[in-house]
Amino acid sequence: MPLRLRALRTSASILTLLIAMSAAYAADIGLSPARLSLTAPPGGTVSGQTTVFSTSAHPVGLTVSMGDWTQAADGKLTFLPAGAADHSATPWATLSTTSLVVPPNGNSIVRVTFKVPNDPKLAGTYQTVVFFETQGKPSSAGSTQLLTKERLGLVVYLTIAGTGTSGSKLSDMYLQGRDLMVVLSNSGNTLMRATGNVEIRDKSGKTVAKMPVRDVPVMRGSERDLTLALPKDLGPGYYVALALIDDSRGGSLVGQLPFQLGN
Amino acid sequence: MPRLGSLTLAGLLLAAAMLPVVASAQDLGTVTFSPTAQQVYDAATGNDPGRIPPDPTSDPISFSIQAWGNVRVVVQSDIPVPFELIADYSSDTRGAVPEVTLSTSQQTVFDANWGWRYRVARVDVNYWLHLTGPTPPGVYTVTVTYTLIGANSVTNTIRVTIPPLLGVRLSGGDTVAFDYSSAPQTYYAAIGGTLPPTSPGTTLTSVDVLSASSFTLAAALAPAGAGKSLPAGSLRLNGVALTSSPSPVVSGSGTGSAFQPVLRPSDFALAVTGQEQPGTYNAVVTYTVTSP
Repeated sequence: MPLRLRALRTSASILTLLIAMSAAYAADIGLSPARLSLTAPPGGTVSGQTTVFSTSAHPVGLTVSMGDWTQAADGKLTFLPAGAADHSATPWATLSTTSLVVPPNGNSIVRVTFKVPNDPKLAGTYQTVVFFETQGKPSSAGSTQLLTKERLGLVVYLTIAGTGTSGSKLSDMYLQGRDLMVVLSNSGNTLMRATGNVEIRDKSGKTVAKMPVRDVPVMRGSERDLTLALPKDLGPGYYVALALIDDSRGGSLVGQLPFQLGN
Repeated sequence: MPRLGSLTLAGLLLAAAMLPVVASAQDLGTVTFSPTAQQVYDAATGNDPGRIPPDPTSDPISFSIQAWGNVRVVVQSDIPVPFELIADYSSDTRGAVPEVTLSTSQQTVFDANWGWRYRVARVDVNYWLHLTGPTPPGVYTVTVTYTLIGANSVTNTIRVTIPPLLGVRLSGGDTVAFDYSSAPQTYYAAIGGTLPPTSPGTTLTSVDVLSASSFTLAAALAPAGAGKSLPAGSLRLNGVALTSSPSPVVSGSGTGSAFQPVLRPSDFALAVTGQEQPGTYNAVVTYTVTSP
């Protein structure tokens, strides 16, 4: 009898603990790095890793999975099932784990390993994303209740060694209302990252505004439309927009657009 | 002769006071700091990661000062940085300031007025990194100069590498509620339109993102497995009707080095048609943040 009583007490304490854990939600999760750029030859293997952390006072359970994504010209992402996108590296990937528990105010390391097929036709940059997703909890309030989950994506670019081609141009600039549109084209088969400035000069040639272009990704063989809002204090008059943008693979893109702002 | 003698003594005193800071080279070496992502993340979220020591591969920094009389040694860094670099000094003499937080202004580390009266002093320098708040990612290279006033100077380099971070946080809580059980007239008036979340019931105050570079926050709606399911498209977030596929609802060029709110409860809305059955509806909203 005393033994049975002790067993019952143990069960009760475990139940309480489980309830307490399920009632905790992940206040935050972080990743570093949030992006990997890897290189491997056909038939080669390459690995990368990221650190997942949280400042939550409770353990944070995470599901780790893979998916695909594409980016539209306006920069919007579309997430697709694993292996569904062109130039997907997902089929070559293996995760070190598909679930993990980040300790309270701690971190965990997750590795992703790619075994590239030995196919001479492979060329350029392939991409995938590794998702880290929290586990939501049932809510107890409201007649319509939304449970919330957080998910961070580790974007991975994998370039087949020795097969990259670059090529880019600033293919268009135009004004759309008070937005300056800058169209970048990447004709290469690797990822391009664009960084630079667009200066606005007045009729006398004086620079009156400078709009930064910060580390914008332009996928292989695609265009990217940048929307840059003109400063609100830019009054009526004649101006010239001068774009000077660096391609991360080398070279600079230059373009200019004379325009007039009315009242 | 006496005149010549006094001149010689003055010249000697001047020469002695101008004796230099001595090191084997003008550049004393490089000290590197590589804080972990956890330490940078702690600082970004308001938790003090404490003092961080240099990488073990850093050069040891030491120099000698040869001088006497009314001399002073100052330290100065060349650029402002968004963290603290702390130097402490140990010497085979007395009189050094215990520690200094480096800045672009000159700070005295040895002064004859502090009782430092030795002609030769060997100084070992220990550096520490203190992340005092959100810190933009990148590599910071700082040149630290020690100058014996009136004589020469020596320098060393400090290099700090801050890793990039991506984070998402739910502030306040994780629940957004639309509880109109006690306000049917509000529901009736909203038919054909949308309803805002209700309080009490809603605990979420904001969805926050941490990303130094461009990011996208996408949201998707899924059945919760209990209660009635919300029809696809009935929940609007930032004007976007959510479906089972993640839809971009916020894009940004970056939030700097700290968490910034990108969604608030007022960005949620529930479209009602009047055909809803009474009861409790449950759904799961997943926020996906990426920085491609």
